[in-house]
Amino acid sequence: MSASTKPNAISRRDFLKLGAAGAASALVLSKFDHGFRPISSAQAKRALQQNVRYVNTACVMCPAECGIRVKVEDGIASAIYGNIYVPMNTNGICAKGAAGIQMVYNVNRIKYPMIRVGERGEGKFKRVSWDEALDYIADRLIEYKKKYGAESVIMDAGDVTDRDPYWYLFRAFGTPHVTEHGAICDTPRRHGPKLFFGGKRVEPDIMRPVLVRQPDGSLKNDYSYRTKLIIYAGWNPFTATRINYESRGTVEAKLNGAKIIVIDPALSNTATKADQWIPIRVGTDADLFAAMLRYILEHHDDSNPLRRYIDWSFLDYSQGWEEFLAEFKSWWNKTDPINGKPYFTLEWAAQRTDIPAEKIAELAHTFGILKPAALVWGMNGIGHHYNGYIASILGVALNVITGNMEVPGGAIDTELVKSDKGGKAKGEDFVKREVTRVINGQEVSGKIEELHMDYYGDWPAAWDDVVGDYPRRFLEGVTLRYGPFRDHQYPIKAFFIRTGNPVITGSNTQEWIKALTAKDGDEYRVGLVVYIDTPFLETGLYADVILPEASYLERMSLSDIYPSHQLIYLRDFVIDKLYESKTQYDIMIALAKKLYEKGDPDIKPEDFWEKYPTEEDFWNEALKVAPGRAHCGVPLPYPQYPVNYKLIGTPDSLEAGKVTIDDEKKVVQGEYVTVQWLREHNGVAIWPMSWHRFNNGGVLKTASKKVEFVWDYEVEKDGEKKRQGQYAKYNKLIEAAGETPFAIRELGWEKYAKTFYWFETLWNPYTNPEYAKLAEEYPFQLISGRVHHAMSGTQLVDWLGRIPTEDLWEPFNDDRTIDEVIIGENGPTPSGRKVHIPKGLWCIGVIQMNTADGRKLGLRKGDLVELETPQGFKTRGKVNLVETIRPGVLRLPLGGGGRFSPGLGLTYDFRDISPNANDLTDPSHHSPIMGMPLYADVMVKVKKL
Amino acid sequence: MSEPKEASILTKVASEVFAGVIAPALENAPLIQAAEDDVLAKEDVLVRMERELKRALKKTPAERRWVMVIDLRRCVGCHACTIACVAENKLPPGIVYRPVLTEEIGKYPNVTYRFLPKPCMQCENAPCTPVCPVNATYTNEEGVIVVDYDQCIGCRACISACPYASRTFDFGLNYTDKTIDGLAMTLGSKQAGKYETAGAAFEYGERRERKHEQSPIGNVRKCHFCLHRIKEGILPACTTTCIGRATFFGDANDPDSLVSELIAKPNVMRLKEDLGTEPRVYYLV
Amino acid sequence: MSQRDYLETRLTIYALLRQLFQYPIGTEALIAARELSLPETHPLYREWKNLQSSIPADINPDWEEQLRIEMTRLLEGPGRTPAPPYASFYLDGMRLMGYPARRAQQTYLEYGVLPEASGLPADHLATELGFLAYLAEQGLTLESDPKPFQVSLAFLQEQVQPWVTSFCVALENAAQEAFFIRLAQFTRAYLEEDATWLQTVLANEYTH
Repeated sequence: MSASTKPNAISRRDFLKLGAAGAASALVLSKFDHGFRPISSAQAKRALQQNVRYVNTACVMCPAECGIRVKVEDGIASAIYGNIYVPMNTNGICAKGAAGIQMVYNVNRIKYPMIRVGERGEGKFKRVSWDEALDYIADRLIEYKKKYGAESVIMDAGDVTDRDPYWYLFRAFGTPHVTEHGAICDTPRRHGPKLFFGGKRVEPDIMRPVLVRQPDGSLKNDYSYRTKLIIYAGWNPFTATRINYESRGTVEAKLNGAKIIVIDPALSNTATKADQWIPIRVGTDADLFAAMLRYILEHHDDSNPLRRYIDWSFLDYSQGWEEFLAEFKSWWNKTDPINGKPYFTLEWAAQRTDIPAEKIAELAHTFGILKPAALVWGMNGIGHHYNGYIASILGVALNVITGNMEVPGGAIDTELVKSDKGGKAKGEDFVKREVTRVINGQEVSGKIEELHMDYYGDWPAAWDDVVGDYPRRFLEGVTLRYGPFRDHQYPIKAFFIRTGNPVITGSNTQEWIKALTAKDGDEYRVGLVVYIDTPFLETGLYADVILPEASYLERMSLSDIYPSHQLIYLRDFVIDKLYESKTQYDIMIALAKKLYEKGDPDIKPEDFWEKYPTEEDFWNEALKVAPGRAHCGVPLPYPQYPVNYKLIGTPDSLEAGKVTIDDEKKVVQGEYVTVQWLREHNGVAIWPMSWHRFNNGGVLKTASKKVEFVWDYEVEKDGEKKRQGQYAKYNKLIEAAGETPFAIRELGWEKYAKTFYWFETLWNPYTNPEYAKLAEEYPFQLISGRVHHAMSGTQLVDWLGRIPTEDLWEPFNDDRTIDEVIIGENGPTPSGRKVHIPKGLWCIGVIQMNTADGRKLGLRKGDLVELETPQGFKTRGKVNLVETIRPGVLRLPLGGGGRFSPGLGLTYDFRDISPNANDLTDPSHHSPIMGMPLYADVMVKVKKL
Repeated sequence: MSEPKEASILTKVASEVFAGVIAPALENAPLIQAAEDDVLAKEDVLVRMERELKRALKKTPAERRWVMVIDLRRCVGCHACTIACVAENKLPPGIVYRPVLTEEIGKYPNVTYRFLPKPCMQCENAPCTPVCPVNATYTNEEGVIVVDYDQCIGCRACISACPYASRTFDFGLNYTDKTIDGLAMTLGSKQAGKYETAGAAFEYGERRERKHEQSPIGNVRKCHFCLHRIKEGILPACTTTCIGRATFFGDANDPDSLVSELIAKPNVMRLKEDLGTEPRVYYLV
Repeated sequence: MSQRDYLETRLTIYALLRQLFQYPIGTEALIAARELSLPETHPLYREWKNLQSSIPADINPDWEEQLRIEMTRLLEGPGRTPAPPYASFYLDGMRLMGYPARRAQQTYLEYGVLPEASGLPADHLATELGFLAYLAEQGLTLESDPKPFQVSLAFLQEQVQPWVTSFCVALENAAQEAFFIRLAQFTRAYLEEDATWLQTVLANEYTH
C-alpha cells in the first residue's frame, strides 16, 4: 500500500490549502450522483443471507440440449449438474455441459449492442443503445421491404432450437426465409428418413429409461436393453455427444449382449467400444449399403432360419417396395466404368470400399439375422457427401425390410416420435398470406411461402426450412423458377445470423467472406448483416449490427432433442440477464415494436405484445401442441383412449382422464402443458413409450401413412387421380414450369426420381472416373471430425481447451507466452498483456495422418504442413502421425483451427498452426438435391513447410 | 415374422416382463434376458447409490469404507468427469484430480484407444502418507486420504512416494498467468495481484479463496472423493456426471451396496496390485 | 479552503469519474470535466489539468463519436477488450461475475445500499466508483462519523486498488485517444491519493 511509504507526506499538508472545485463542483453534483440507493435493514439482511438454490433447465453448450440442474449462489450460477428426470441424459452431462459456467461468465461475451464503424471484417464497432441498434435495423428492413420485398431478408437461427420467437417475427414481417443450421449440415443424412417416413433421424432404441404402460395399467420405467446389433456408419455418438443417451446406451446394450460395429475411416471413440471397426474408404458408404442390400436380397431364404433376413411384415405398413426393388435390381446388370464389375456385387463393393468381399457378406448376413438391430449413419460421414442421399435411402431400406423399424431394441426415427412443440408460435400462418409482385410487367399473386428462394428457386426439394445454397445467393441474387412467382428476381439484402457461425462452419470460408464483403459501388451487396449471439465469433466480424443475446442460463424456451418417445423439457431463467443482453422473446418484441412504430404494415400489436405480454405466454403457446402425436403402438400408452387420435396435454391430465375427446378431429384434449406445470414437475413432461408405431399409420408423416418406397406415385381417391409421395409436389412444379433444377440436370435427370436412384460423389478418385486422374498429384482424401467441445463457440472455454480428443485436438502447443490480442484500432491488436501457456497444457486442432503416410512423406509428428486442393484452396496445420486412421485419409477437426475471431480466447492464438477444414471446401458445387456444401468430398496434396 | 415359440414364452413370463426385468410383452419382440451383470436393469444406479450413500452416512465414519469402482467397459472417453471435477473443485491449470488417460494401442487396422480414468487410488496402505514430515496428509476415519492445506509445507515428498502419480503440486498457476504478475513487475506495485486469483473452492467443506502464496497454492493437491459433497449426501461429481455411467461409488462395508456387489465380480482389478497398496479404487475390465 | 470544500471536491471527483467510465460518456459529463477546476494546491492538480487538456474547448459531435468508438474498443467489446472494466477479470482467473462481484455486492448490502439497476455488475468500475461517491456523500453529511471513511478505505484497499492499478495500466497502454490515457493516469493516481488521504484522516481526525 503506497500510503504506508509516505504517511508523513500527506500529514504535512494543510487541509486549508487543498483545493476545492467551487461552482463547477455544484454543477457536477446537480447532474450526476453516485447511483446508489439505501435499502431497509431487513431487506439488506435478507439479501446478505447465503442464498443457494437449484434450477432445472436445459443446456445449450451444444444442440443436444441436455437436462441440467444449476446451482445458484447469491444470484450467481456456480455449478452445473445433470437433471436425472430428463431421460435424454438422466443426470449425465458431458465436459462441455459441466464447463458452461465459463461460457456464461466469459469476458469475451457480447455484452452490449454494437454498430459497425469500420469496413466489414475490420472488427471496428461502436457500442450503442438497444434503441439505436433497433432503429438501424428497422429502417433498413423497411427500406428493403419497399424496394425489394420482404423476401430479400433471411433469418438464420443457427444451431440451437429455441429460435421460435425469431421465426415468428420474420414470418410476420413477410419473409419465407427463416432457417437454421440444418440448412447447411448433414441434409443428405436426413433425406432417406424424410422420403420414406416423413422423418429425419434413425437412431437405435437405447434411450433408457423409457416409461412403459404395464398390463396392470400402471406406468413403470423400463431399463432393459434389447438391441442385439448396432451398426454405426460414420456416426460417432461418444464424441458428438449430440445424442447423450447413445453413450451409455451403446455400452449398456453391448454389456447386454449386443454386437457393435463401427464403420469409419478413422478410429472414433465409439469404435473403441465396438466389436468390429471397419475403416472404410472415404465416401463409399452407399456402395457398402448397396452391396449389403443386394446380398440380403440374393441370399434371403424364408425356409432357412439362418438366412431369413427379410421380415416380410414390413409390407403391412409399406408401399412401393416392388418398384424400388425393380429399380435397384435394374443396376445389377450394369457394369461400373471404374472397375468393370456389375453394380452392387460384393466384388464391386470390395473394390470401391476397400473392405474384403467376405467381410461385406458377413456384415450383410449379421445385419440380416441379428435382430433387433439398428443401422445408424452419421453427420460428418454420410451427411457431408455429395451422394450421401443414397446411403441414407439404402440405410432406411435396410432397416425397414429387416423388420427393425419400431421394434423394441430396433431403430426409431426420433423426429416422428418426439413431442410436437411450437405450434402457432412458429408463425407458419404468416407465410400463407397472399402477396402480389410485378413480374415482367404483370401483377402476380401468390402466398409468401411461394417466394422461397430455394423451394421455388434452384432447390425445390430443399425441405425443412432449408436454405442450402449459401453464400452463392448473396452474390448472385435469386431467380424464382417455379410456382406462381416464376421469373421473379430479387436480391438478398439482409442476413440475420443468430447463434451460428457460417464463415467457419458453412461451406468455404473465403467464399463467405467474399459474399459478405461484396460491394455494388460503395454499398455492400447484402446491405444489412445482423449477428445475434452470446460469444463473438468470426461471422460477427462481418456484421453491421451485433446484438447480445442472453446466455442459456438467462433465457426461456423448450427442448426436445431426439428422444425415443414424447418428452419435453423447459429451459428456464436461472440467473438475471447480464449486461444489456436480451432474450429471443425480448428481441422479438422490441424489434416488432420498432417496426410497428415506423409504420411497417405487417407487424400488428395483436400478434405480438398484446397476444404474448410475457415471455411465459409465448412459450405456453408453443406448448399447446404438446405432445401432439398419434396415440399408437404397443403397449398402447393410454388404453382408455382411441388409437391414432392425437394426444394433447399434460401427462397427468391424460392419465387422470381430464380430457375431452373430439371424434371428428380425432383429438384427445387434456390440460395444456405450461411453463408452470413443467417447473412443478422437475422441468420435464414425459409421456409413455410404445413400439410398433408405424402400424396402421401411427406416427408416419407420409401422404399414404405408410412407409413409402416410391416418392412420386398416383392414387385414386373418390374417382380422382392424385399424385402423392415426397417428391411429387416438386415434380409437379418442374413439369408446370418445364424447367429442370440445374443441380439435378447435372445428374442427367429431368425430375426427382420416383424411387431408388444412384449417382457418384464428387472429388472421389475411387468411385468417380472424372477424378481418378487427379489421384496421383492429390493422393489424400480429407474428412472432418467432431472434437468433444469444438462447437464453433465453445472453444473459448478454457477448461475444455486442455482436453485432447481422438487424435484431432492435441496438446501440440509449445511453451508459448503470447500477446493477448484484442480488437484494435486497425483490427486485431496486441493488448499489451501476456498470456503464458505452458507446453502440453493447451490443445489445438491438428491434421490426423497415418504413420505410414507420414513416413513416406518424411514427416514427423508435429511438423507443420500445408494442404492444397486441386482448386488451389489451402490450409495449414501440424500433423499428428498415428495408427488410428486409414492410410490415404486425412482428418481435420471441423471448426477446430484457423480461427480468427479474437473473441475465441486461446484458440485464436494458435490460428497460424491449426487447420480450418472449410478453407478447403469446394464452393462451386453443392450436393444436388438439398444444395448442401461438400464438406467431406475433398482431395488434397501435402507439402511440408 | 414372429416365432410361435417365442410368443408362448412371452405369455408365460408376462409378469416378469412387466417387472421391467425383461422386454415388455410385445407380440413381435424377441425375448432377451437382461445380462446378469446389468446393474442398470432395475433402477438407475445413481438413485440406488445415493440411497446407499445416505444409509452409510447414518453410520459412524469409522464404520464406513468409501470405495470407487470404475467400469472401463463403460468409459466412453468423453472426459466429462475430468471437467466436472475441475469445475467442482475450481482447479487451476496444471492440476487435474481425475485425468482420463488415453492410450493408443496396436497398429492400423488393429488399433484402439484405451481410456483409463485415474483418480487418487485412496490406498489402504498408502505410500504417500508416511513420508509427510508434518503429518499434513493422512487417511481420515472414512478411509479417504486428505491434505491439510494449512499444515502442508509443500515439500512434495508425497508426490514422489505416490506410485500412481495421483498428486500434483499447486504452483500457483492461473489462467491469467504472466498477466497480473507481469503487470505487477512493470508497475513496481505490490498491489497488483494481491488478491484472490481464482474463485473459492469448497474442498474439505471449507471455503478457501485462492490467494497469492496462500494455501492451497504451494501445497500438494489431490482427489478427495468430493468429501464435501459426500457429507451432504451427494455422490462425487465424477460419478454423477459420467455419461457412460462408468463410475460407481459407495460404502464397501455395506454388503448390500452396489459397490460391494461390483467388487465381488471376477472381472475386477486394481492398479499395480503387486505393490500391496490396496487401492480403494477398483476397475472392472 | 475548508475541509468541507475538500470533501465536496472528493465527492465531485468520484461522481464524475463514475460518469467517465460509464458508456456512453455524456456531453454534460465531458463539459463538467473540462470546467471542474481544481485549485493549484490540490495534490492531483497537474494530473487533472492533463486530463482536461485532452478535452477540446469545443466539444463537437465528431470528437464525441471518436471517443465512443475508442471507448467501445477499449472497454465494451465485442469479444475481448484490452481493458475489461470488471474486478473479476483481474482477480478471478479472467472470468466475470466471480468472487469479487459477490464480495462487492456484499459490501454494498452491508452498508445498507444497492446500486440502481443498470445492467452493470457489482464489480464494474463505474459501480465501484459510484459506491465510493456514495460514501463520499455520506462523509459529507456525517462529518463526525468515521464509518464512511473507514469503509471507503477498506473498500479501496481491499477491493478496488488491487485491480484498478492493472486496469489503468492496460487502459493507458492500449488507448490511442489522449483522453483515455490521461483518464487512466488520473484515476490510478487519484485512488492512490485518496487512500493515502483517508489513512491520514482516519489517523489524525478520528483517533482522538
